[in-house]
Formats: sequence, structure tokens, C-alpha cells
Amino acid sequence: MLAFALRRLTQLLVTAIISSFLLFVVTEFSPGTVSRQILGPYALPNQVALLDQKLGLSQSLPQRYVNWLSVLVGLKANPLGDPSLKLDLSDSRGDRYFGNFGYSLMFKQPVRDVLAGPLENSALLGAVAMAFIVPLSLLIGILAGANAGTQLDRLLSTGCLIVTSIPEYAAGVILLTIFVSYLNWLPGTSPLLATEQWSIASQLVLPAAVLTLATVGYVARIVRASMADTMTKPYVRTALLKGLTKRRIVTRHVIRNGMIPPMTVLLLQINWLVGGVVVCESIFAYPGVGRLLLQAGLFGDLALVQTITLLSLAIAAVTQLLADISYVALNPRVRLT
Amino acid sequence: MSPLLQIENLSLVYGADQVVRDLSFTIGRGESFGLVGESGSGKSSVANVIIGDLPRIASARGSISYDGIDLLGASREQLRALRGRRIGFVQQDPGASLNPTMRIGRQLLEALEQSDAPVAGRKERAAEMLSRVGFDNPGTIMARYPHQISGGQQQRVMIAMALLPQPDLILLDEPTSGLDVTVEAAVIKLIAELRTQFGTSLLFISHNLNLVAKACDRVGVLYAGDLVEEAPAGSVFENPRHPYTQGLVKCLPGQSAVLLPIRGHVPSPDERGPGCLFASRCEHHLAGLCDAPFDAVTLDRAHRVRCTRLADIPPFARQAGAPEARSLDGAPPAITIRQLRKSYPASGGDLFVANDDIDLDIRQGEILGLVGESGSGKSTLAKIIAGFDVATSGTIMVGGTDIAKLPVRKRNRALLRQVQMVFQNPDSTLNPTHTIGWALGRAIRKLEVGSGDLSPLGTRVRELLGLVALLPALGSRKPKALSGGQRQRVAIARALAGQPRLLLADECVSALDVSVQAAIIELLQDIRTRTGTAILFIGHDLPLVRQISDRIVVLFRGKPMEVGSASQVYSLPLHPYTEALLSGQNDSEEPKKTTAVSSTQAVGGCPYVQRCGRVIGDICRTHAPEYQQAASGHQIYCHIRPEELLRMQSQLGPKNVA
Repeated sequence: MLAFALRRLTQLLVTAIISSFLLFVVTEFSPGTVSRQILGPYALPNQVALLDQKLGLSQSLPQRYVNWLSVLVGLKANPLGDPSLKLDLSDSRGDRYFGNFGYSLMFKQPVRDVLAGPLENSALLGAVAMAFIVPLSLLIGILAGANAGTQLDRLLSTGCLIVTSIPEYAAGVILLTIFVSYLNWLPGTSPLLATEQWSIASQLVLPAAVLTLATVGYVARIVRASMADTMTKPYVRTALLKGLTKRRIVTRHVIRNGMIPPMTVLLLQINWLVGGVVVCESIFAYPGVGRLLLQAGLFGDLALVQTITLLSLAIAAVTQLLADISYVALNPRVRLT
Repeated sequence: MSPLLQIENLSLVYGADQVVRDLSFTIGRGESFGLVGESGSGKSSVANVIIGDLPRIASARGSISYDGIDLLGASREQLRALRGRRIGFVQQDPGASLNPTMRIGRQLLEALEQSDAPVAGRKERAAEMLSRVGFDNPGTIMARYPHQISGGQQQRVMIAMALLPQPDLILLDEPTSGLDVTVEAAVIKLIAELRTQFGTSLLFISHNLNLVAKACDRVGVLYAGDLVEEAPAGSVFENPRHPYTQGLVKCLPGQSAVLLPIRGHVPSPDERGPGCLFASRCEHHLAGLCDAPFDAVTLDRAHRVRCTRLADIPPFARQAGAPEARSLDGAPPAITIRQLRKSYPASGGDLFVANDDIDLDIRQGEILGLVGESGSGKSTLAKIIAGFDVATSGTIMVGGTDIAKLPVRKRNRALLRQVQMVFQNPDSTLNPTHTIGWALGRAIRKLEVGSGDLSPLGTRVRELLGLVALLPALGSRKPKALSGGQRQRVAIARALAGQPRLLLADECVSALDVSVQAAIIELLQDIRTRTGTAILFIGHDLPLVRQISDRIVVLFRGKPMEVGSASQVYSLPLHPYTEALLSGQNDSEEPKKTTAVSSTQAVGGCPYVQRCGRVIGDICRTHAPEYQQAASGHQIYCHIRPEELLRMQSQLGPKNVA
């Protein structure tokens, strides 16, 4: 088990390095360099070249990647923070520290400071949404899968299909119309600033509902398919032939085996919830990472886009590691490998 | 005293398809009844209707009375209360029938959950039951997961599980299919023993008439949902009366000199009329008489036959004697195997030797049978010859080329057509989206090189179909429209497209019904005679391999133990392993994995030494034997001289130490 965890951890590290390099390459090739952005559209080409020189941007691609990585792990100072450039960028943590993601040109602040708040908000929203997604999709999936082919299954499956096919923005607008315009029960925007009328909790309701609706149907269908498949296994029939009640058959023999495949899909949702909720956060003006990513993309804030994407990659890698470990925990047949 | 289970006029319909028709039989207390039938005969449906677990579209008429309870009219809750506690059930495929994520102990205890047994002693009871089904270490087994024990052990666990609540009746649905022959024999022995110990009634369902006759008091033969004959177990072989039963016995290898397949096919549900369903295949068929409904005829108290012309059916006559053997000593070899060795890395840096320095010639036009228990390296050898795997060392010469280390991707057309393979399961070897004609046409295009034969593809396809005795019209059908036997014929036709020098047949009939199996065997022999193709026939069914083969190789742990003509090996088995294999006393049940490990530690002695009952001293453990010539073409791999082995056999009788 230890060897297995160590091997997986090494794989994780390799994945992180390769994907960070690919990410770096892709963002570096995007139009408009950092120097051009700093100097503005009217700067002369030789001025741009001079700044490129100072920032180390004229070096080769692998060299730039190494520079970027060195800044990230705290071996080098970020050239943008050099006071002689008069960019007015400074970092309260000093110029060398582990996890230095550089400066956001849009906010004229270190990326870490810019990202801290939205990340916290996104995590909160993601956690609230997961708190509904997990039990709901499991409940629906297990109920439908354990009664595959019955009226109940058809009802739940159709419901899931309908909910899955409603896009986030449509769900957002529909919910807004009902609960804000007509009923006036909930706030229309969620800036996470407590007002007299709307508490923070009430502001979370609609964004979390949209995310839950968008995910539950899909995950539930995967769980249902796996449960329905498990129900046809000979060992489930063995349990039936022992005279066990249906409830016991499902809880003891079906759920654990049937949960093995959907676990990966379920954990993948965390990834999306933290880094990719662009539409939903925009609709509700929710100050999360997704909205920040949209702003950074529009502005061309390379460091910020890179950091957010890197973060998504890290979360993806970690959730997949968790998925692998849970797979091993659920399935004794792979325990020794 | 009324019988325990009484089925009367049971009819079972799935949608519009009649699955079982007007079935009646009884099982007394402590009695075992065997139900035999080929696939599609409805035998499993009978078990399912008794236990009350049928698909939703099924509807049953008639009556099933179990100890006075009407099972067809019972409520779900009543049925559930009967399951396990009163009626046990052992399914086929024990590996899939145990929950892979639950320890065996817990699964066993579940069987006691519904019973009135005191909670305190249940664990002890489960352990005791495990030791009664032959486990020395119940505690260890209970702590294991199903994948950690062997297939035979899994089925023992399933049987223990069925016995635990002490039911009055146990239904066994193909309990040994998918198990190794030697393990199968052990499980059948166990079932027979337990019946005398516990006095439980059994309904034993199988496609294998031999097995059923061994384990049961009475046997019922099911054909297309009709119980055509019901008789005491002995009479089924000695005095079968129904034409179908007679045909079935003639198909069984080892029962007569020549296998006689039953012509025709089982009528599909829409071809079934009100009269005898065997009529279309019966040589005694009389139009008018046989096509009208009729009742079963009772010969005596225990023997019932459902045939309206019974008086005119001649008594069963068997062709005694051994199968005719062909001697091909003079024929040149089709392929020559020398010093062939295949080893895989095993745990702990050991090597697992699958093929151990095999020297073998397969002669032109010869059918060479390869037998041995699973794990003996039979399939590995076939894989290497076919090129799905490569040898570690040694040579396989095919017409001047060494193919031992040449994977199939690197073989050129000329080599590819020399060696072709027929696989075990015809259902999964044909692409379901293409027609038979397309599949054969492709094989012809891929395998026929510049033969100068300019006849159009369609003609060649029809020729191939003709070669395997299929109608040309089948060329336009898709595989799913064909029966299992027809599909296997197509698979053979495909392999023959390039007129191969050698045909590899790895268990190529073991997925087929007996009557179909006999026909395929006949076909292979016919093809050998007509085309001169050599056939390497790999099988686990010993009488069957004897029936088809000219020569036989007995493999144990990758090493040929005995090589000789079919009659030499079967009538005069010399090697202790062959002797054990043929007497069916070969108890090879060792825990999984350790088999592999111990076989890696062939410490230089004879590989069979650990299980041999005739060890003559340290020489068996320390020195590898030499091949000894027992007779012309008959070799054994043993230290003991052939005469000495014969003397031992006659003195001590077969003896085997596991």
C-alpha cells in the first residue's frame, strides 16, 4: 500500500511538471507579450525589445520556463518586481519565497493576494454545492439503479436527463426569474457582502442551486448505470437466493461494488467546481475564481491566467489521486498491486 | 409419504416463446434428480421457476408443490422465506457468484441470517461446514476475499453456503461448468458424499450426461422444453429408449467407437408444433402420428418416455470397441518443435516456466491431441505457435523458417497461412457487424497469395462453406443468425481459407453442446483426410481427445510426460501422471498462486515429484529423468522403467499422493 501511494505520488509529480510546462508554452504563445502590455500600444518596437531583455523574455523558451519555475519555487526574484523598472509592483512577502506566482498586471498586486479571496469564495461555493451533489446524486442513482426498468427508474432517469440538458445560464435565468423577480425570496446577485436584507447564506442559495442542478443529473446517471449493472451480477443473485431482503442486498452487495466506477466521475466534479465555474459566477456576480479567470483572460493578465490554470491542474491531479486511493480502498482485488 | 418437490404439467412461457412444456417430475426426500439438456432446453429456467426468480416477461402455468407449499402461488415474502433456508441454490461460475469485495466468512454468515440458529454459535457452524466440504483451515479461508482462493475452492465455499442453513433441497445449476476437469471430478465427489451425509435432496442441472449420471439417482432428459425421458441413472446409458437420448449417448466420447452426431438443429420457438419436438431430427418420425399431441409412456415405475412410437423404436445398440487409430509414422513433419522454452518472471525474482524444453513433431495430416490440467502450458504452446507470444528459447520450424520468436505481426503472408487457429468461443470470434460471406472473403483475400486461382471471391466463399458442410445461403447472414455449431464451422472455414499446414484447435468444441460437438469432431477428421492439414487439438475432455487424436501428448507443468499413439496412452498409460489423469483421481487442488510458485522451484528433479505416488527415492527429487522408449513411438518422462511401472500398477492399483 505504501509502495502504491509512493508510486502514485511520483506519477503525480511528473504529471505536474509536464502539464505546467505545456501550460507555460500555451500561455507564452498567446498574442501580446508582457512588455507590450506594460508599455502600451504606442511603444516603439525597440522599447519593447529593451524591456523584453530586462525581463528575460528574449531568452529561449526552455530557459524562460526554468526562470518562471525558479521564481515559483523561490530561487529567483521576479524581474517585474525590480524597483528600477518603476512599475510600482512590490510584494510584502519579499522577492523570493516558495509559491511566488508573480504579479497580476491588472491589479498591480502579487497574484497570491489577488487570488486569495476569490479562491476562498469558490471553495465555499464548491463545498456547499458538493454537500448537495454527493448525497442527491447517490440517492437518485442508487434508487434508480436498484430498481432498473421500473416506473421509478424511468421517472428518475428522465428527470436527470432533463436537468442535465438545461445549460447553466438557462438554469440561472430561470431560477432568477422565479425566486428573485416573482417571489423576491432571494437576492439576485451574490457579491458575498452581507446587507441588511440578504445574509451571506441567502446569497449562496442560487449559485449553489445552479451548480447542483448542472451536476446532479449527470453524476446520478453514471451512478445509476453502474448500480444497474451491478444488480445483474451473479453475486447479487447469490444474495437473493440466500433469502436476503432487497434492502439488504442493495446496501451490502450492490452499493460498494457499484460505487467503484462513479467515484472518479464524482471527484472530477470538485475540479470543475473550484476552477471552472465561469458562467454561474458571472451570472450572479459571485466573487470567485471563475469570474476572476474571465476578467484576467479579457485583460490579458498572463500571470493570473497561468496561476489559476495551474491551480486547476493541481486540483485535478490531487482529486484523481484521491480517486485512485478510494478505488483501492473499495476494491480488495487491487489491494496488492 | 408425499415427495418433497412435485412438479405437475408445468409450462413456462417467455413472452410468446414456449420455454418449458407440460413438465412433470418429482423429487423424493433425500433423493437426487438430474436434469440434462443442451443449451436452450430450458433446464435453467426450471431451477429459476422453482426458486421464484424469473424474468418479468415470464409466465408459468401448472403446479409446483414443495413440501405442501404451492410455489407458483406463493407471495414474494413467502418465497423469500423459503430461499436459502429451505431451498438452497448453487449457481454456475463460482468466481462471479461470490461478492468480490466481501470476505468469505461474512458471506457465509449471511446464509444463516434468516435462520433460527442462535447468533452466538454461527461462526463456529460456518467454520465447521467449511471443514466438512474439505477445507483444513476454515479460519484462514473465512478471512480471505474470493479472488484469493482457487475456482474449485470457490465452488466448495458456494456449496458450504448452500448447505449451512440445512435446506431440504438444493438446486445445482451447472455447478462445475468453467472448472478444470480434475477440479470438476473433486466437486462431483463432494456433492455425492454430502448427499449421503446430510440426506439433502438435490436437483442437479447440467449439460453433461456423464456427470449427472454419476451424481444422481434418477435422470430426466430435457429437449426443447420437453422432458423426453426420465429413468434411473444407470438405465440412461444402458437402455435409453427415446430416440433423442439414444442419439445423445452416441454423441458422448468414450461411449462408443464412433461419434454419431445428431443431425439437424433444435427447433426455435416459432418452429415448434403441438407434437413431438424432436420429430424434425428423428429417423423414426412418422408424419401425422408424431405431429399430434400425446402423453408420455411409462415403461415401468421409474422409466417414462415421451414418444408415441415407442413400441417401434429399436432398443439401444452401441458400437463397442475403441476408436480406429491411424498410423502416420512415415509422414514428414508439418512442424518441428525443438527445445522450446517459455518462462515468465514470477514474484520474488523467480521464473515461472510455462513450457519446459519441449521436443515435438506434428506430422502432416496428423491430429495430435494435447492434454493436461489447466496451467500445464497447453495454451501457451498454441499461442507461441500462432505467434501471439514468443518463446524464450528454442525453435519451431515450419517449412524452413523458425517461427518460435516471430510474433504474428512480423510474419509474412506465406507464414501466416501455414499456421491458423480456431478459438474456443465461436460467439466472440466473429465480428457481429459483418456477414459470414464478408468474413470469409476477407480471410481469402488476406491469406491466399498468388495461387493462380482466378475464380471469383464468391465462388471461393461457397467452396469454403461447402468444405465445412454449410449451405451457401448462409454467406449472406450475420453471425447472430447462426447457431453455435454453425458459427464454429464458419470459424473453421475461415482458418482453412489459406489451406494451412497446421490448424491449432484450442478447446474448440468445449463451448458447444454434445450433439454439435460430435459433428465438429467429425468435420475436423474429415478435413484432415481431405486437405492433409495437421491439427493440434488441445482439450481437457480426455475421452474426446482420445476420440479424435492419432497421437497424444500429456503435458504437466510445461513438460511432456508421456507421448504416444492414442491407444498406447489411453489403454496402457505408463507415466504416473497419465495414470492419475485417466483414473480421474488427480486431485490437483492446491491453493492458487502457490501452484505457480512451487512450479518455479523445479529443483532439478522430476516436475511431478510432489504429486507422484510412485516416487522411488531421492533420485526423483534431485535428478531430472530422461525420456524412455516404452514402445515404438511411445515415450515417457520418468526414472522408473516401463516394465516396472506396469508391475507397480498391477500390484498396488492406482494410488496418488497429493
